[in-house]
Amino acid sequence: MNDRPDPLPDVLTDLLADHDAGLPVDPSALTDARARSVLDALAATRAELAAVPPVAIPPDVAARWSAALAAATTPPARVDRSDTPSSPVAHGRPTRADPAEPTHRPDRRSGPASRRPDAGPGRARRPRTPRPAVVAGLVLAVVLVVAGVVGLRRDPPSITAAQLGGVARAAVGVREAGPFTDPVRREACLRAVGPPGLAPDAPLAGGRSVVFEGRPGVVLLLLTGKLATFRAVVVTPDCDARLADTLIGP
Amino acid sequence: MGQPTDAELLAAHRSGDAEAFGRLAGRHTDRMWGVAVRTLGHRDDAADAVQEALLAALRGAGSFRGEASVRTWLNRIVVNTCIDRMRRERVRPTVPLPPWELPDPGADPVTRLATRMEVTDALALLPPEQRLAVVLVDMEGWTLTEVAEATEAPMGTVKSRCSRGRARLAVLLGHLREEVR
Repeated sequence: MNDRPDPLPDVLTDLLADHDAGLPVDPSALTDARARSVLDALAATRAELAAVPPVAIPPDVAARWSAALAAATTPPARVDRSDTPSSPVAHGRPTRADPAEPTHRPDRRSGPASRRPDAGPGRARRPRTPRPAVVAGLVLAVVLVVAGVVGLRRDPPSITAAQLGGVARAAVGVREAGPFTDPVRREACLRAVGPPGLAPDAPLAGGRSVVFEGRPGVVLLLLTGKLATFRAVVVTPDCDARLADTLIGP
Repeated sequence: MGQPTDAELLAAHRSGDAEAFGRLAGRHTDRMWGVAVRTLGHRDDAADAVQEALLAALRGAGSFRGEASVRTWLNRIVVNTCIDRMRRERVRPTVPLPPWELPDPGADPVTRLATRMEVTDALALLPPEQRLAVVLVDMEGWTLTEVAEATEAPMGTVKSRCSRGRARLAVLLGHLREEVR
């Protein structure tokens, strides 16, 4: 681990250190002429350790923990899809991104998955739709597009203000924020219509298109730097207005 | 109405309250971070360790039987996570915390920064169990009982680890000079 010599203290030092730590020792050790100096040195060591200032949790680290916990605890989306066709395409599951990804921390190691804290059971992806169903869904969608009935993209869910919190929570890791997936465009938008107090460059934890109170919109779930706390902002697709803003967290 | 206890939050989480675990975790992350960043000595390793511990706690919440307090349970999880990582870190050198992470050092920044780096480097040279004991008792202010519970070691063993760790650090930090030994 290191090539420095191991400075093991001698027996007297060990005895005095034991005494200093509250262990019973032979009283004769305390009468040694060097005892006072050793005990003073141990006291100075403890004082130096105690004087080291605490290290605050970096905001990006707290944000990453929040995203990881949210991803591990988020229940399946409970979005009203009564207005969408019941087809294999409509049942497609959003792909969950790595919750740590929004912080853009480069992976400086390429070790086994077991060493990655986000590789646990809580990170298991949902089973993919069986390939035949996907093919059938695509065929059906193409037919419907040709027929001019629907597009390949499913209709965005209609939600109310009361449903925003639940929808936003379910959007962790979902990359359906349209143009606002681009951080430059998102920052520009939030700078223009974002709520006061929100950093325009706040990392995106997820996003999805919706119809909010009857108006087309995009839900942006943004990290706040506080554990398990997010800011959900709904903007219009062309970012000419902010439709809603709410804080989500403990 | 007062704040719910840790046990009440854990019970709420087990009952399906989606926010309860986040609230519970938020109460303990400062302490978990302190342990991890001091024992591992590296920001990213500490962040990984705390995240791993939080997810382990989340996954294990259903099997928590309440024989210890929630705080002790979380202490054990983060301590075990850090010990595992300290043992694995022997395959690569420890990189100290960069200076930009340090909080406002106050009136004597040069001295405090130098002290910090020395302590961090010296801690990295201790065996994992000694490093952990010294960090928890002397830097994080845990009681010996808390350390014994978290490490599931007898009190005498905890004292002995503190004793050996401090004696080594006294030399490494220059408080115990060769002629005294």
